[in-house]
Amino acid sequence: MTAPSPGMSASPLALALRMSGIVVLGLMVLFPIYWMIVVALTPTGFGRQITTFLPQTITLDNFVSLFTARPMARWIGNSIIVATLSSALSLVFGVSCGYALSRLRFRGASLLLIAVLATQMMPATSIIVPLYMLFRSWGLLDTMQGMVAGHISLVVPLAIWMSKGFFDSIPRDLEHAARIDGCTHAGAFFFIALPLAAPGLAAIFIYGFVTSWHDFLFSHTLVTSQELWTAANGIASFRGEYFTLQEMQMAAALVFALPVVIVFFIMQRWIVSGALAGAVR
Amino acid sequence: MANVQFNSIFKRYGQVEVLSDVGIDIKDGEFVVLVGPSGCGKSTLLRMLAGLETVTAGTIAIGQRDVTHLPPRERDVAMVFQNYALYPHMTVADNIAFPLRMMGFAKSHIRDQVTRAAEMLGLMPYLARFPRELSGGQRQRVAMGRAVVREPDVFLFDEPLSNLDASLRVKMRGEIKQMHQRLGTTMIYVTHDQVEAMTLGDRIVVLRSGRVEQIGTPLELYNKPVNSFVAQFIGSPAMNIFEARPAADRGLAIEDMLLTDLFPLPHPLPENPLLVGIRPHDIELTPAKTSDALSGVVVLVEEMGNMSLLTVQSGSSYVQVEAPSPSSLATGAPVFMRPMKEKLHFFTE
Repeated sequence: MTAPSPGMSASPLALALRMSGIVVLGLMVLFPIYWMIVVALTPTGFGRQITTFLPQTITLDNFVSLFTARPMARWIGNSIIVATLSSALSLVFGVSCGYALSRLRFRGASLLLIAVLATQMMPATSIIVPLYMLFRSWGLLDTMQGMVAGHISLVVPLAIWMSKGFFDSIPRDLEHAARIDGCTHAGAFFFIALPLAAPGLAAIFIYGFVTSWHDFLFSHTLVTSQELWTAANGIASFRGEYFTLQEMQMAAALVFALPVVIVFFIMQRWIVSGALAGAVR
Repeated sequence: MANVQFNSIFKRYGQVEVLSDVGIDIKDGEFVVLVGPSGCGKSTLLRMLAGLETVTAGTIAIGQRDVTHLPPRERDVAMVFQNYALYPHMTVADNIAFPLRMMGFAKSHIRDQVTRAAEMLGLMPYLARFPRELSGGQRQRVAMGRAVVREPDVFLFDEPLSNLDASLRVKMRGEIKQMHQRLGTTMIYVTHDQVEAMTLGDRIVVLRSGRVEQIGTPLELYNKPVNSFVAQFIGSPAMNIFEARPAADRGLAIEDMLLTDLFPLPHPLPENPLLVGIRPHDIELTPAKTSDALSGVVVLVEEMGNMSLLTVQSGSSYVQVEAPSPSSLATGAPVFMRPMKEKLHFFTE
């Protein structure tokens, strides 16, 4: 006999409590975004005078100003370049290291994995100073390449761990079968292991993209030229010493959030469960 | 088609030796079953032939060609794995076509070959499905189709039926046998199930702890096992083995039984206890105790339908005896058992 679902056996009071809990949680998550939209649609300088939950005057001037008075398009473009390159390269490094750690048996493999994880445990603020010194001596300061390299150092450790986990979950016999069926080691990797790890790779790409996109510390420290600013730098520039352009900042924040949402929706279909169902047993 | 030779094969993992001096000569078109308990090295031997495991020492030849150090794709073998190992992101048709694609055949040829294999294995309605949409038996057939389609020199089976239920296992066993009869290709089959070994193999190789115990036809192994391990491993229910003491009049004593005028006995008799074996259906139940009968008490009655299998405790030994079904004997009943002298097996190990 199957157990009744929790919803079926719950009393109306418990159901009401549960629903109100969900509503409260939803409000907590969504209200800041709603307020961001309200402030972004308010004319510049009137953000602090809002007295109701609904905007009294709606304007798109803030969004227009972002792209006319400020180089928002360039900042977004820089962010897209840095996030795409750093997440793609992190994926390449992560997948190759993760696959090797998953499939090859060698002395010190466990130690290497722990060492990789240990680097992830360091707060970014603690590695930014040595990284700054290294990049200065290598001539990578205030360059796009330097920023990409910095972001890769943030993403790669977890990318290695994640990809190792995904490859571990793929039965080795699938690659063995492919090698008997005529593949080389590399062929078995490209034809079998890689397609099966695609959902995992999509997750790693999204993780890398979001990490790089949201980073402020590295881009703020490693880059000084305004033409190389990422969007995170750009948004911070609306905050002055004595005055903050809240309305434009919120409009910029909305524009800033959009690409990540788009990337997530595009990659979402790859993140499906049960990709391996039927492979073995 | 090709013959296969394992020449003095050794396999070590560090200090652990899993295969020791294994030599097997398999004839072209033969169906050979490697059988043995878990950990005996049978799957390792098969994977070494496939090229998935390295060889520590010795050589492997397929059709007179030394393949010891060749990668799997250059050995011209096909393998059916215990867990099917179907490519989950490919349809049934793509799974079967995969080896042909890797060999670079034209699309039209691949299509024809896939259709031929699918028709042979009854997979035509499922060609567009993914492995996750198939039953266990259908998945097993797809794995066989993928092996058949490339017409290899040697087929390798690594416990292919162990994940199927009992009735499907019997059905698929028949299909594999028929496939061998139809194709006539050399097949090497690994199992721990002695019934599969007996029913499928032209010859059986019994392995224990990485060593070959005996090679022979199913009936040779059943009727003339070389030691007590083979004797107990082949045949169901297993052969009863007793430790015997030498006695007068060319005889042996087992528990309270004295067997005299026994020929042939090993000469001279070994210092270690001599082992005597008798199959459960070669023991008669007698109504009264005689000197050449063992006395005991029934401890278990198993009704098999066509016969009853009695487990009898006699001294420190447990003896299995076949009796007509339904059994008139209940647990706790005293019985007397007389082994047929001409059916006795004598072992020194």
